[in-house]
Amino acid sequence: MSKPDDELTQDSPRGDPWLAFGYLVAGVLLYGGVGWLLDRWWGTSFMIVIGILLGVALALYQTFARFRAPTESR
Amino acid sequence: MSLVTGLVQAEFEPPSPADFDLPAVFGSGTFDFLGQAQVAGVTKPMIQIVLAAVFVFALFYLASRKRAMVPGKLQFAGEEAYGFVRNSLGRDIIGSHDFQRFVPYLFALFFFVLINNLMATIPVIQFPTFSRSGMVYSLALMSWVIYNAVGIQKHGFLGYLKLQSVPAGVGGVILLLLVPLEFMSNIIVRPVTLALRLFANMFAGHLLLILFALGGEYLVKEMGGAYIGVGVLAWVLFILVAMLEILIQFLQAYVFVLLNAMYIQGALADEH
Repeated sequence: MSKPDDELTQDSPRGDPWLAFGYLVAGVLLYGGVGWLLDRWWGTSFMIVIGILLGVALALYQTFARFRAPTESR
Repeated sequence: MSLVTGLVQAEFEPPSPADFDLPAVFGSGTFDFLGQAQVAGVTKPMIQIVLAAVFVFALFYLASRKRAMVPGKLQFAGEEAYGFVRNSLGRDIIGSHDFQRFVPYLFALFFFVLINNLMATIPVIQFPTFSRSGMVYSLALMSWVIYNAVGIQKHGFLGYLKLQSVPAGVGGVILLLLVPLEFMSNIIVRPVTLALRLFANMFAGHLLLILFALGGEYLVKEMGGAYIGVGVLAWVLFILVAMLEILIQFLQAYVFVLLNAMYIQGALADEH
């Protein structure tokens, strides 16, 4: 019974197909929200843009990281 | 409201989300909740969701009642259906070690969602239960409770939080930025996107069918002349889209349960 288990850990999905969408929504909401709050605090108007872009960048980074071949972790 | 209204007999009224606000079957009147007028009574989707539950229960009760060594037709169909969910959604996703205890949930959920989706096509009923977002949000809430409970049970509360929000293989400042993102995406946004997918597919499919049916009727009855051909074409498209809808109804039930299984698998995983 150990052999199918080993195959399963290699082929088992590492996140659902909608993972990227979830990351993008979460990133934009979270860091866009932080940027908006900083804007209100500092009276500026550009922090929300930086926040949204940072959120998107982190979401893309994390999506790439999740679907990368698991060579270093195994 | 447009200036050309006078040129045609009656302006075409496109279908809108208001078409999904069905009047109450039993009871009447409204009450205010969250700033919106809600129907105080039993509406059609409420009846449908109960019907679907009763139907799924009755079907598989009858299929499993005899448990003969040589199965009859109904028992054979029931066993095939059970095996399909058990193997392709349970074992292949969650893994052969702990999938068995989730099979009843996945099995019941799949056929419950499937029957509710197919109701959009069944004559006389012809309304997708899950085009009402509240119905889907409660299913997603159940899924959220289950996968989080399973994860906390296995890893402990802090261990589970660490599993879901600390990505492996990164360090330094970027880890600090990624932890809130992972938490947000895995714990907060996930049930919303899960519900949104099923709701939006059912809603858009039904809206499309209303549009083709009413648009065709308007072209044939109100516009007349050369437009009749276009109206008939719209009705042909209506039939084709209705067939496509059956495929989507099956697919969305499958995807909904597939994602449930994946979230459970993710909560049970040892590490990423």
